[in-house]
Amino acid sequence: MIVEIRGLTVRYGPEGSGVRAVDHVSLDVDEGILYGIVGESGSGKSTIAMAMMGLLPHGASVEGGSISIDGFEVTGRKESQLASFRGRTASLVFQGAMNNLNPLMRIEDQVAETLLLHRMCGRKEALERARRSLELVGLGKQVWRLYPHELSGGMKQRAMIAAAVVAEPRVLIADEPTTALDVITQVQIVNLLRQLREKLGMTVILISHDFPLVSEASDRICILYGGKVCEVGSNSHIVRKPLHPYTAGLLNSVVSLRERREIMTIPGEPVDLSRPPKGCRFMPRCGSAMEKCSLYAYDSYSPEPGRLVYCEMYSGPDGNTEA
Amino acid sequence: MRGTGLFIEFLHNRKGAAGLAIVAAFTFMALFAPFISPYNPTSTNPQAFLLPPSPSHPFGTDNLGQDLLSRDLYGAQISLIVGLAAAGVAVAIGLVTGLVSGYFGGLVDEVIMRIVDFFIVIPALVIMIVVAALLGPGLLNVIAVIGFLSWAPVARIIRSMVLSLRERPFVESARANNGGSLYIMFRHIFPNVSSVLYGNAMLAVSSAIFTQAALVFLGVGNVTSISWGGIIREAYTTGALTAGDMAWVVPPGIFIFTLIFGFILIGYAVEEIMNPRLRGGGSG
Repeated sequence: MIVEIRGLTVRYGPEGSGVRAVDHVSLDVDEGILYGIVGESGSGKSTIAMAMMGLLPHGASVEGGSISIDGFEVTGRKESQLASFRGRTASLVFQGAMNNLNPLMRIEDQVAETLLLHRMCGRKEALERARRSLELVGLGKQVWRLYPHELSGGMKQRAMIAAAVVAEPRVLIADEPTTALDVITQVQIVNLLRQLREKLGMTVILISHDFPLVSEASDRICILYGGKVCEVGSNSHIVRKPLHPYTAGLLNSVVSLRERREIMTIPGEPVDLSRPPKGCRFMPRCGSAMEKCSLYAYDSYSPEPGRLVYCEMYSGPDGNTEA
Repeated sequence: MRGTGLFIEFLHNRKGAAGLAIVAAFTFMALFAPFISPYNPTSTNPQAFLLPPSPSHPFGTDNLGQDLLSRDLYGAQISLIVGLAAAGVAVAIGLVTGLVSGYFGGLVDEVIMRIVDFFIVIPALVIMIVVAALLGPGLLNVIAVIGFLSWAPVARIIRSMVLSLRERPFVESARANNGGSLYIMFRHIFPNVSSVLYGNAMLAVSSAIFTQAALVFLGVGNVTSISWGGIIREAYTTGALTAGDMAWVVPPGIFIFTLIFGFILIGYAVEEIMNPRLRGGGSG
């Protein structure tokens, strides 16, 4: 287990009255896999990514739980300890990262920056490694000495990924790395993440609202809803046989080229996190809701090996209670 | 490659080309004054004082019989030296204080900005007269006085830019990656304020030239060295101004004006090139 998140709870706002954007979330990521996290806006997926890097914005705080990445406990660390962890043990490619480049710095210098800031090597070696990293993400010689405005959006996103992996971190977290890119480029970026996993043996965590995109690339998928985990399982399990009603709803809402069928939407509105419903958060929108759902305490059930589902439907005699 | 491209663009800018031509002409004047001056600017001639303009003395002579053309040519030296050096001091102090103030914020920012307020509110010329009088004459003193008393506007402009730059993602990411404050200020923020800095530096040069001339005219600083302000002062104290001796007063006045104008033109041109929104006819 290279990433172990246990009961992570992140609150925005003051104690007592704030909003719990992430509520007792537990995740386990095996080394060397591509792990997809899917959730709609407000599901807490970006908050999890930021918490994993110790980069929560002002006003957000970890209320409870632990995050361990490659044996390093992230929560409760001082900024100085986190600084040497970032980039080396884990890296984050932000949402819309392509706008994060310094407009007045050459691409190769920006990629080399991580190495220099961590004093991992001298300037010459840093540049060499930066260029290798750029080549790895498919940016050749012509691009190395250019400035950001001379690159296309996809190229900038690649450069950001090169910067994230230049120090060869064990874990790469990509938070919506394909937002604002066209479909072709999106696929290229996701393929790139897969290649990085293979070539560098990196564990990649891909976070997105785009279910088809994640299912295209991931080995395992975790579905989030309203700051809670719905379901975790292997890619084929989740896509072929979703257990949680929300997962099923998501799958039905996806437009498919292969099969002609009506697009189903999930009725209702996303959960208001400032006033979450009692029990299961998805219950108000759920077609299979039962009475006991409002008493649901978010126990996880494992109806099949290697899968976890957080839904009362599976609390029957054959479901094994885990937590 | 990029540098020459920018320079060519600068030359294609009418203001830039004109400003550069003016400054180049005065620089030439200052550097080669010993060779192009018809007379020694300090050699007196009791037989030829207060001469009106003539072929042998195009601007006439002063009350000591010194050739005014020669003195006007030499005057370019002091103006350029003081203008550039004092502006250099002001811009350097303004840059560092602006960066520190904007980047660290909080109490540091508060203290620095109140000092800036002080310098902006107080009439600078008055303090300069007092301080320069205390320090005594000397080129370095004049440079120091002008430089140390005119950095405040630069600091404020830089600070306002840093305030927005420090929130930019690349700054945040450098900080998250172990980047120290000094590193971030000079590697990431400074290049992004430099465009504004260059334009303002040129304006600072022009104001320093004017201030120096004003100080000398008021009798502060080294009044014995040859400078345009000094020449006008001599004309004033000897009564030539009231007597209507235009050849004594007008040339140095025009020189001061033209040199200042040259630097202002360069400043505007730099700003136009660096700020695409001010560019005329260009794309974007």
